[in-house]
Amino acid sequence: MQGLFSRSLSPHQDNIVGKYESALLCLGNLHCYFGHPKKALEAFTEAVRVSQMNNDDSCLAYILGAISNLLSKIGISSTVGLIGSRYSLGNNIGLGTPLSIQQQLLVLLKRSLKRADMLKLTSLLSFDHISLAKFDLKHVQRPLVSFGPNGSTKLRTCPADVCKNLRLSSHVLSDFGTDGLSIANDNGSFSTSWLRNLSDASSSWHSSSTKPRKLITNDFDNFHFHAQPSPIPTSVLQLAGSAYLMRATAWEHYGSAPMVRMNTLVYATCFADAASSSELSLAYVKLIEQLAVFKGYSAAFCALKLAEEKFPSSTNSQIHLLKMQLLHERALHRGHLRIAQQICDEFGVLSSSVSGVDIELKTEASLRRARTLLAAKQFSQAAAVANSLFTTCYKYNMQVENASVLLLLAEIHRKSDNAVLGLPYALASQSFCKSFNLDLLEASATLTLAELWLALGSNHAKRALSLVYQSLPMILGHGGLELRARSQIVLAKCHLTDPEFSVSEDPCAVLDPLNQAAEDLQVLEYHEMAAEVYYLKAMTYNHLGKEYEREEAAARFKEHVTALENPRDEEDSLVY
Amino acid sequence: LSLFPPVRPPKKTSPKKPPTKQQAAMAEEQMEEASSSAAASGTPFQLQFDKPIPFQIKLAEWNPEKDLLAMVTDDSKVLLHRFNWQRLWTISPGKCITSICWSPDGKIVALGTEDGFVLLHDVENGKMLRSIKSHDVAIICLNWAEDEPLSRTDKEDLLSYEDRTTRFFPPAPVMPRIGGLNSGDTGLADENEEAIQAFSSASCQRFNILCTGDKDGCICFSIFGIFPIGKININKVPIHVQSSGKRTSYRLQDVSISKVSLSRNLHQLVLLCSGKLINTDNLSLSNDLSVGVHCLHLDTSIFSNRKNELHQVSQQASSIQDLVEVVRASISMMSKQWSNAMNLFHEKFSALPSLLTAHGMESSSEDEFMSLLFGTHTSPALHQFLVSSLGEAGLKRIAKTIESAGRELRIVVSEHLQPAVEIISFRLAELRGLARWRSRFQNIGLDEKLMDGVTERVGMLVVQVERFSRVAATVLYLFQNFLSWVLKCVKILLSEPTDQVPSTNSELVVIFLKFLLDKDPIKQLLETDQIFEWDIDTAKHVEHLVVFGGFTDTKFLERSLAKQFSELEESLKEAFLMPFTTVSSQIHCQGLLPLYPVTSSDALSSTSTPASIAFYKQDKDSQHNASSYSSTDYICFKIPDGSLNLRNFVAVIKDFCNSCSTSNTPSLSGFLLHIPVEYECVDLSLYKDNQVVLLLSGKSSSENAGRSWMVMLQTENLSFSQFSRTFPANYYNLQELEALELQLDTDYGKVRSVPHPLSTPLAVSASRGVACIFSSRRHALVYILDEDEDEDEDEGSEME
Repeated sequence: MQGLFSRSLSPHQDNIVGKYESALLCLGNLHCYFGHPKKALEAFTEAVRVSQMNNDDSCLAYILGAISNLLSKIGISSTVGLIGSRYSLGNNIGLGTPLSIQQQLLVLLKRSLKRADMLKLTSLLSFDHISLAKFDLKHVQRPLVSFGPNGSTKLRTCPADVCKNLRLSSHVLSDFGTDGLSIANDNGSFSTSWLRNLSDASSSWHSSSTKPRKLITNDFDNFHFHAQPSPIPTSVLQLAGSAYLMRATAWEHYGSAPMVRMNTLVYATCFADAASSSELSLAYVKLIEQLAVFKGYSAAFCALKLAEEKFPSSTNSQIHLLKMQLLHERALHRGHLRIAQQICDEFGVLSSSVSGVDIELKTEASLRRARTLLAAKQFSQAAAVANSLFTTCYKYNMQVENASVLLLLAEIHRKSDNAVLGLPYALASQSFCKSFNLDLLEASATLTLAELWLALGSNHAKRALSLVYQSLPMILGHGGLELRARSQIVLAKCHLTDPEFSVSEDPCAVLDPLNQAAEDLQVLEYHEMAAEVYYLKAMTYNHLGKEYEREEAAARFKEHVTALENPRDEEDSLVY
Repeated sequence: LSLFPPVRPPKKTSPKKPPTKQQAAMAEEQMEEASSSAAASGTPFQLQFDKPIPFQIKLAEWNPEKDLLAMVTDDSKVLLHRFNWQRLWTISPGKCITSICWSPDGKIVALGTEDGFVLLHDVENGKMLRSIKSHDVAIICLNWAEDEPLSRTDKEDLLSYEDRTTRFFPPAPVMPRIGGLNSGDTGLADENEEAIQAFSSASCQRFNILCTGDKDGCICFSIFGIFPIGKININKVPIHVQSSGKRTSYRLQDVSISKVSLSRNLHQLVLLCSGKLINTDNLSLSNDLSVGVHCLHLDTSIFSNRKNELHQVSQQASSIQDLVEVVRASISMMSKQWSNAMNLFHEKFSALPSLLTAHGMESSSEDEFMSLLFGTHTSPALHQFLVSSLGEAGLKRIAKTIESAGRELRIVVSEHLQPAVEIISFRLAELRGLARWRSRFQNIGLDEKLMDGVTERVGMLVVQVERFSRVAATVLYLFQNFLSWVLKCVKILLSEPTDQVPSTNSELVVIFLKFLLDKDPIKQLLETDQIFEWDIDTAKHVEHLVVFGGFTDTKFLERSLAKQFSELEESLKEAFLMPFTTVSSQIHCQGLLPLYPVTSSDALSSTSTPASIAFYKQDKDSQHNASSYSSTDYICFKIPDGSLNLRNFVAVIKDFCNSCSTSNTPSLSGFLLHIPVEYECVDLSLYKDNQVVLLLSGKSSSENAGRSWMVMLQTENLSFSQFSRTFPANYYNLQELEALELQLDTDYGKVRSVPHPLSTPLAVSASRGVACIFSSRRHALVYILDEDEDEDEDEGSEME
């Protein structure tokens, strides 16, 4: 999105946007980009003063947009942050700011939107729509002024607004000709590229006409090599592309895995030519994350290697972060706790304040620390870390993160056999998810709730089963391998603990989910859960009197337990 | 928001619920009182009015929710009247209508046509909402049954499922209209849109199934009347009959279905059909007598057992199908709009290339034009072309046409095509999620692999839409640029001031001349038979993406937008065919009862023999389990004269379905009713609380010609006698039944004389307690069947 602001500085526009205020605007943006919010704000203030003096409305509108952009980043770091995992639900939306700033942001955005609409600045309009969508994604829009009992406050985010804003922002592509500021530059760049292509183009036409299959060349198709240079400015394409990337992020929150994949793919296919490297790498990161969650680590690391070739890691922190995340997850699953701890420490270093404070990275680091501690069965320490994390998130009003931290706390209490303590956390997490429309996280909170009830005794099996049924459509449709396997295990457990259920009558009700879970966990190399599955399977076969199958399952159980308890080739975990 | 507030007294606003046992019993008591008092006065049914009607009415049906009567005339006009006989609308669908029924919520009237279409019309204005071709021949009967809320169990609440689409998306896009926003009659069109929207959202609230039976023995089932979920051909259904410990297989041939009825718990279907019964084990046994009318019981428990699953799937799938239609309409409309604009452009500019070649001073034709660019000089021919034959006005007209076509294109893409494709992809993703829950959804045929394939295809379609919108934006911009440049040139040639003309980019003009003058990239993308060339870099990029989980079909960029869309449609069809065939294969025939033989000569007319099927809630089954309830089926029909050696008989049988299934349920029973000889039964209908309404008309030969009777019988007062359902010892067991004489002055029920010769149809409304009958002298008479209905309702509401 950086291109948007630099564009208003082209020399031929000086009759519309004064040079000095444009320079200030640009300076402010650069300060913002490199993480100096104070200096950026100074530059913007000066720019506002100058453009007000010169009655430069368009520049003012741009400055408003830039300030709102700054506000949305204030207090957070300079890195265009991407931290993504099921737990942090992170992305490049950095909003950890106190409420007042958020309200200011909303006011500014709306004002900038109005001005952009009035002045027909379509690019700015599109940018503002995307920013609004970002805002709506994580915030409940409260009426700024509400009096009396009639001021209805709906304490939920409004996903339909996000969708509307993103659709509106996509209009930038078709309306680019009408942008008040975009005047096609006549500097000969088109001719140059045209001439370069001309000979190739004409020769290819002849050759294609002789081909047996009739091929059509569409000269304006961006997928065609000889396509003519497009008059659409790169910045417009970038904006149109960000709408898709933003959609993918929104669906990560709302929980629709196929939509995340599809929107990211559309971005990577259609906008790769115009995209900035940070945005393109973000798209790749999202794709790799999807692979890791749905196809297992081997596929993800395979793709990661390719991505590292494409984006040299020295210049791209996102890919590097992703690598660490994947390694950490895999180490946890394989039971290589030493490695996991090591990666956690690396995260801690990254999030230390040397290169600016990135609150999201910080959250991520402590979340991972808590999970590592949990895996090492150091429950009280894990709980302490998670609690302090919750306070931080609460302080910075990071509601979405709150939900996942609460879920983690519930999980910690469950694993430490304190189901009663875990229940309120799970319920709180669930209600957070409801009001922020985090459907997938809500489903996993519901699943945790079911596990907690189940831990309270067999007379709660019915209630647990109904909770599992509630969450299954979401989890099976959009959850990753781990979550799916977990839900299958809980389902089987619900049946097994239910005193009214008899295995011999309906063995499929238990064995089918267990087989499914075993399959998924195989791909994930998750020893702890796989061991649990095979244990349950062996028990079921024992009930059914099938001894051969029982022995087989028991052998697999042993395999996984030994793998978990004696982590060999730990060094493997850093290789991929 | 309904246009029709209930016409009856305002205290009856609460929707009518089927009466509970006690209510029924009480109602019965009251009815008896009423009938005795009415018998004293001699006129049990109050005549509401008697109106002449200028048509011959073929079919008539009361709306189940509102006081509306839909009628079909002999010349297939459809009329909708209020209870006060005010006509609301008339439509002529232009097809011969053979059957009619209302949706359970009374918002849609379904019409079956002679050529196998089901037409769904909006009750508010008669507009056609859908037209679905599900049969090849005439649809004889329709039955639209809704799942009763009473039959819900705890398990279903547990499996509740939210359709997330409304939460995440603004309202779904509708079909684009020609003319866009500047058309004059937007108000009307908007109304229509809303109606369609309301249809798709409101009608999906509760699970319901429309059954259609045709002349060739096929029955189709569709959820919400729009999503086809099953089809069975009675000619091919094996019928197994258990008789004296031996199992015999039968088959019906040349079946024509005359009546279908699905029980309200969707558990069983009873149908009447005519056809030849063949013993497949021993073909020689069939004789003339085996051609007759038979009653079949089909087990449709798949609908009741899997109704949650079917509801969810069909809710998503039918919305997807709607949106697919939106995409189709968008593509065809864009291609129409654009080709219109291009035709005009080429008409005007076709002379240009040849002109340039003919009069070009330089070797290349574009050079001539380019020389204009720099204002050097023009040849006289070009000058002539630009100034005279094209002219400033002509040029402006072209510019305007292309601009408006471009605007249309933009609107269609951004407001119809893109949102539609987006919602389709979301809904498909949800369906795919459901398909993953194998234990629940596999046995209704939702296939995970097929759904994966469709999801993949829709992703490619999104890429294609994006590509299209980009090409369109570029091309439109170039056109705009070129046309204003030509305008500038013309102005220069005419030595007019050019400061009004927007500035242009001359490089883009060159690109335009080179690549757009004789080509049409927008059209290419909208045609299905184009294959695009694409370069190695893109190919590499796409293959590269496969590693990252991209589309595995890397050739998709070769296709045009239209081609990609048709591929999506194909795979959708395939995916939705799976549930269709799976569900169809799970509908079995449970029982058969031959009713009466027909000679082949009157086999054709047998379809019009009056018959009625109804399901009543069983009186006593509370001892098992309060949540489950079963229903008793009643079948009432007229036996054609001469068949079974009987004349003027009406038969009523009950418990046919229940006797098919288990042993300890009430067994098949029934009775025959002999109509007095001087009358004939014109039509009959089952009415609520196990009652039968008969229409008797005096025979023309007798002295009673012109006099008719309407009779309402309480079947409980008549003695049912059991009879065996075993055959073939004697095909038609109906003969065993006891025959009762119907005397018009007894107190079997209520009788009222009508001073008109009557004709079919008889339309009774159980929920409203009214009957409409038609005289052959073109009169419509509406009678109130339950005088005490209001009291009844009050008590009903108190009990709730």
